Amino acid sequence: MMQEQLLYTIALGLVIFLVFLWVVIGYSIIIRQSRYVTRSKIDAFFIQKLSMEYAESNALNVPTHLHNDQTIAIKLNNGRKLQYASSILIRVQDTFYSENDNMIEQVCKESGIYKEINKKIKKQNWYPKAMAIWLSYELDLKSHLTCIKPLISHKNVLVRREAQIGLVRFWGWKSLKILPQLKYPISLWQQIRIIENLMDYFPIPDLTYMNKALETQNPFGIELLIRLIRRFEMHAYKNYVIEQLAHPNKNVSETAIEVLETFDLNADQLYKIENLLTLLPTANQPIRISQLIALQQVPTNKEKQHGNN
Amino acid sequence: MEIIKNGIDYFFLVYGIALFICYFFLILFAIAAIHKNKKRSLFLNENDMKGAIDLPSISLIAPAYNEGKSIIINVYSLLSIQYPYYELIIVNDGSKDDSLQQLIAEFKLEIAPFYQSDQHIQHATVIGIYKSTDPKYKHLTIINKQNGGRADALNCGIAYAKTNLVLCTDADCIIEQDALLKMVRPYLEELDKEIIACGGAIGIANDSIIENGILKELKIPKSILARIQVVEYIRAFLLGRMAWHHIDGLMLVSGAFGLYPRSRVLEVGGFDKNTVGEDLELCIRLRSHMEQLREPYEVVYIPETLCWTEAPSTRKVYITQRDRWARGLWETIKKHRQLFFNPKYRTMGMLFFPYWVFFELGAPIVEFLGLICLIVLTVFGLINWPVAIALFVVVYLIGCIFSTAAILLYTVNFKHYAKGSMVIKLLLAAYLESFISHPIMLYAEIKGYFKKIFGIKSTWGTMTRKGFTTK
Repeated sequence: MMQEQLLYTIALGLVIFLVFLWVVIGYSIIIRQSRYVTRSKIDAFFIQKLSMEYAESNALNVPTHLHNDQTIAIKLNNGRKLQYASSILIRVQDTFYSENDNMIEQVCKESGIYKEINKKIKKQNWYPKAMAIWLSYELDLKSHLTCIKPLISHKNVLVRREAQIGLVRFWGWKSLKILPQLKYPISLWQQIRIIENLMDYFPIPDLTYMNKALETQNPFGIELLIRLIRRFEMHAYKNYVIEQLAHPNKNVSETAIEVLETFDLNADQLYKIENLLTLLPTANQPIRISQLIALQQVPTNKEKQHGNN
Repeated sequence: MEIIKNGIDYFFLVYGIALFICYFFLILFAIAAIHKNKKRSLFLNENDMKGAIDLPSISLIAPAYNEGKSIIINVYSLLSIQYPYYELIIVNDGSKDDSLQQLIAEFKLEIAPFYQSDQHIQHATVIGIYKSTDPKYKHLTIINKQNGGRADALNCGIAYAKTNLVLCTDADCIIEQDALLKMVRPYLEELDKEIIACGGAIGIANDSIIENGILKELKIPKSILARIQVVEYIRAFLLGRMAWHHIDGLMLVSGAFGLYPRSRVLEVGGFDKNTVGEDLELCIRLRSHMEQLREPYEVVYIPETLCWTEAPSTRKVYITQRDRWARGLWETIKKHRQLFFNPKYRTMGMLFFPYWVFFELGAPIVEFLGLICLIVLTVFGLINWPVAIALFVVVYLIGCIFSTAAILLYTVNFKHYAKGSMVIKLLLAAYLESFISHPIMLYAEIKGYFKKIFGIKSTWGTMTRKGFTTK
């Protein structure tokens, strides 16, 4: 009897918990709908704001209803809203061109995004901090650079990563001068982001900073430089890539092979590679390098494309 | 007699409590993992990588055997995937239907020159390699080979692939357009640990609308059996795999959707052709290999549903599938039995593998024994029915809570089942699971084990499918 009672008491508790889960499911569905309404409001607010800024900065007549319609007000008081609002501005920034370089920054200041990002960048928690850095460089808020710069060696990987990408975005090739000082690893994802940012915003390489960056001993930094040499077709640095074939780090030597496969090499360079074969660190590299040499010696119009496509 | 009865009672009680404790912690780990994944994904926008040239190249390998009814639409679906450096390899595994002829006609295929495949893995003889003459399909390669089974066909695809990563899937799966961009993220982010396998969630798309090989409208399956499997998949993928990934204990990447570094798969010799659980076996073998090399590694899991498949909607096909899964599990556990409580393999040997033995392999056996005990004790009149019924109610409710928690996590984090009516249908299916699909599953699993114990030969089994509704 006792056992039975105990079991039914447990069952009652479980039923109550089950009902609680149902309520949470229902609540989450309602919240999702209300979030949709909020997003529509944010959309409307920014369409109005951006239209006015665009019209004013491009000396167009601002439709009167845009001036009059000040009823929409939004409060970007949480990370989700801030992220959504910012994503609208990032898309606008990537799509539209305006005479006014500071249009987005202006809208950020007027809508409160700027203040929110500023607050979040100073937080201790890694997530809002990294998000604020990301938004700062995506929205081109250059004034945040002073807060971002000290974070390039932050203990949290994402904060550190976003700060380093931010520096590239604001400084361009000049940011490469910090490469020899970086001790932490740089993921392939981060390397891609750095390369793509340089490609999009600073398409002409500044060799002064590139030369300084070559001093790095960090294998991840070397890997990044090799990839940069390929992306920007800096043929003058082919010898640097060839030297990396003998690097003790397998990833570095593999990246060097991949990159050299996409370049045309002269007889001297091929001779240098052949000499390096004796110094190679891992078992599979000599085969790949021999293949590279063979590939370079084929006197045809090789398809110099990345990968296999 | 009383001592024996008490002993049996305590065995089942302790086993049940241990299992529930494991599940409880898995839920906690899954919540933490989903939260972490959501935060990190903000910084991994796949749009940023679309133009990049430094991405690892991927081969998508899809074996096809007698898929004539849907092969064309499925290949179109696989070709529409967004990824800059990607090749699609369809391995025609000696189909007896007109799959190959259809492919040749539709994609203007021509015999391509043979090239040397990698010698690390063996596979059945290749009859021909086909490439399209239409530049639109330059990423497509069809390998026509003699029949050797799914694992053999995958091995053949891997041997002929020329990319850094290989994604193994099935020709009848519908893969999300951005699936590769999402699946490759862990490989781009790896720093101190090598990613040896990456799995993504698989969803059930029975009765959903497929247009040009793309999932246009997700619907709840009409068949109750398929509907229950939707809940089962959500629970298994979102709670189970996510939790194991969080504690570095993921031992299984589904065969229908798994991404591996090609070099590591070649190193271990590819998929094992002698088991029907080749996905689980490969994952365990890869892990064991890395443990032996003493190199840091990780098996990762992406909670987003990136691949859609058709679940069995009839009892017969469902039994065939679960029977095969049970046999695959048995074979894999038996093959890797040296891992069991082996400190050489660290947590994998001391914790994760024993969990699989006790609770994945063992659960159907314990449940089956429980049913036998119930019958015997009933015959001898030794059952206290009021207590037994109360215990059943408690166990049933705990099961309902786990399923409801999985549905809740899915609703909160993903949009697929966002409508209230869909959620209600899923909840009802979850509460019927114990009475409808679970007994069938138990029967199928015991049948599979029985075949293994008594050495009854059995093959992959025919998986008759209805096919997706296409427009």
